[in-house]
Amino acid sequence: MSVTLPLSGIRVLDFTWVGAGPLATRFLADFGAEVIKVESRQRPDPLRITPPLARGTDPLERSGYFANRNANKKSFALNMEHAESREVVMDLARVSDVCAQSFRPGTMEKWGLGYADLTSARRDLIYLSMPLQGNSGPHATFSGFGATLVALSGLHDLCGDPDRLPVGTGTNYPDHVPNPMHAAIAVLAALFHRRRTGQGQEIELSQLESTLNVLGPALEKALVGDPPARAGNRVVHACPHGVFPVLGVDRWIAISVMNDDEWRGLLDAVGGALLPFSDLVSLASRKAHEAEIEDRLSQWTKERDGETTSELLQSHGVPAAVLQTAADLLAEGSSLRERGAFVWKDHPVMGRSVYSATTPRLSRTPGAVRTAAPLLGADTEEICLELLGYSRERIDGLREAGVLN
Amino acid sequence: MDSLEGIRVLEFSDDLGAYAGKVLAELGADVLRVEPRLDMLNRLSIDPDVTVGRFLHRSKRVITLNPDSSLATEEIEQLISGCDVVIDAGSQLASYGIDRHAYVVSRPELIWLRVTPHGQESVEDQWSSDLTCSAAGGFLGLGGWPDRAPTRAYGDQTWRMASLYAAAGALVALYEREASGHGQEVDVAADEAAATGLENALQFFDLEGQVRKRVGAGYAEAGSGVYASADGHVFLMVGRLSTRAGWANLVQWMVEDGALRAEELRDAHWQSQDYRTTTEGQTTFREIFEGFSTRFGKAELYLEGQRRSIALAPINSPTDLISNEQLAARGFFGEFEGEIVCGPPYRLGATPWRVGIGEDA
Repeated sequence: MSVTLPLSGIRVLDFTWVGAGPLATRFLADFGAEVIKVESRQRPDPLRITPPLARGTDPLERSGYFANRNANKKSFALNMEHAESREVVMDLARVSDVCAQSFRPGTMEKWGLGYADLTSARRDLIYLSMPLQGNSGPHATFSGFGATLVALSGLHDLCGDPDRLPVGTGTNYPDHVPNPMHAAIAVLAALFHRRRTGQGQEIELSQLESTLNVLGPALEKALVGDPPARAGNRVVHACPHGVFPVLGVDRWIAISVMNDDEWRGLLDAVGGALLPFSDLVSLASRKAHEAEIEDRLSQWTKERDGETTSELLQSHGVPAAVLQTAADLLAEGSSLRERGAFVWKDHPVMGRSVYSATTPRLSRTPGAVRTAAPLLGADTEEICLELLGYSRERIDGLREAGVLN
Repeated sequence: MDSLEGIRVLEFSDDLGAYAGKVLAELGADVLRVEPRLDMLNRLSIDPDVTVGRFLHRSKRVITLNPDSSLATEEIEQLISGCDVVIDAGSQLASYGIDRHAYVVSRPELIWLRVTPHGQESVEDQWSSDLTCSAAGGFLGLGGWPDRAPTRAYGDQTWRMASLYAAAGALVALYEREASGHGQEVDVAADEAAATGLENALQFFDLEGQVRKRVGAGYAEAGSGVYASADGHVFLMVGRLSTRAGWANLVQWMVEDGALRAEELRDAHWQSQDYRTTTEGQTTFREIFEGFSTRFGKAELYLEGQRRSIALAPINSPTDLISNEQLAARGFFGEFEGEIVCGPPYRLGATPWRVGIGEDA
């Protein structure tokens, strides 16, 4: 029996690009929303030219970075700099449930396509804007990108070893999980409200404020005069809590001893390697010797195989896991691959390539990666004909005028 | 009216799933958190810092169960019979002998969030933490210095990622239930959640055979990365990709300001990424630029950098943020029961985010 996807019947008019927005709309698409991604040959999504790239020479259709964020979507080529595009967007809005955009504040309004304009076409529209620092305030129109946000939010400062420059997470983390997921959550809450009341609404997600929410305790500690500082892998409430070398080139094991039972388990597991510290049965006493414990533990782990060591520590009730690289994760038999965390899809230009699977897993109406990322403009014709009901003459005219491009 | 008005959520969770409860509560659900028994704490991941607890739980009602375990099990069964969503994260609920599968038949409209370190089908007796799940999902490997061990993301981000997916899954299931009348299970694994945060690392290996690793404070390239200011650090990105014009704008600013050796940065070899990635290029740029940048505060560099279209951002500390003029102008920080608290992750026009426990709870 085929199950109807939970968001089937929901249409999303998607102007988001680059980082966070496209992952938010992909989440909706995975669960059945019809997402129409609007871009143009004049201004394609910049990720289309961003590595990693599949082999070949196509200038816009080879990026794995782009593909993963845009699976399950349709692509509609529309040159927003052309005056006639506004009418096309209004026609699209009329048949859409959600409009999402991540432009600098004022961009949609400049085109006459702000919230007030679009709700004149679709009264119960849910309209999501995802500006970097909000639509108001003295920094609202400041430019920036993923790395800017990591720096602005405090995340960069809080990560890394205390004796060196701050390093952040090594990624534009806010773009990959906190901001897309907060955005998806807000849209889903608004859809739920609309289903119960018929009322649409405007949602503003400041990417800075969204990111600050996953760092909330750091801010609230600063507010009471106790600001945290970067501490490598250490945390106040556990010891040892770190990442230690194992056999192999650049191979590591994460070990975290969160309480005294786990410490006793660690002492048993390492068979005397931590003997000088065996009396340190309280957190406070271990903290007083943290560097020495870490050093001694490193001496013990570095002679050992990661997986074997992880299994040994687990068998003694100690949280431990081998650090996985992308190659490890994608290898046949890896636990995440076995769980189905990755899927491979065929793409007309890229061939077969990997996508993150839909998470979370819903038991009765699961989401899925059904189609690879779209070629730019792949669905323009079909959408004009079937969804907007444009005549052949009109479509040809819009093409000739450079509107649909 | 709140988005989730009338939705009752029962939370049995350590920090792994606690942010999911917070998200649902602040969208208007009535979230009842059942505090774990003290003897369970060793198997649960709970940051003992009271600030963390207040942040995660201030919008929930909190109860403790009868200390008699069999009476507590009865209480739980009663509580479940009156709720729409169960957040079942960590081992707390299982230790009362509650079998989630039993409810598939008896309460088919129930939505059950199962949030675990490695997935609900994984070995029950695995020992995990935010750090080990970050390692298992690969996220840990991208941060830190190449000559040292990788370093974690601050603030239990693996747990936050798992919670975000759980909350989003709950909302999909609630939306679907309005049409079908049926609930379902939502399965979130923290290590899988962390593996969605790898940026493009999976695709780099798949398409180009490259294993991405940690790179220290930024790109190993002159013009891109972390540099000193008078009061801390800034993140600068000029020269690379679309920021080429930023290089010229930056050098112009430095020249106007009379910065020593700024003219050298106009030499043709700086146009080449090959030169910018040499040790000599990186060291020389740092000397010249920091001779300039350490004369200004990071906020001042940011404002003037914006005026001149230069991608430069202050590396804010939490203390910088609580006096940030943009956040202040937007009223981001609010007050709750006499404390200043973190504001909303999103602003919904008709059904606003709210902190604290709803009136009808």
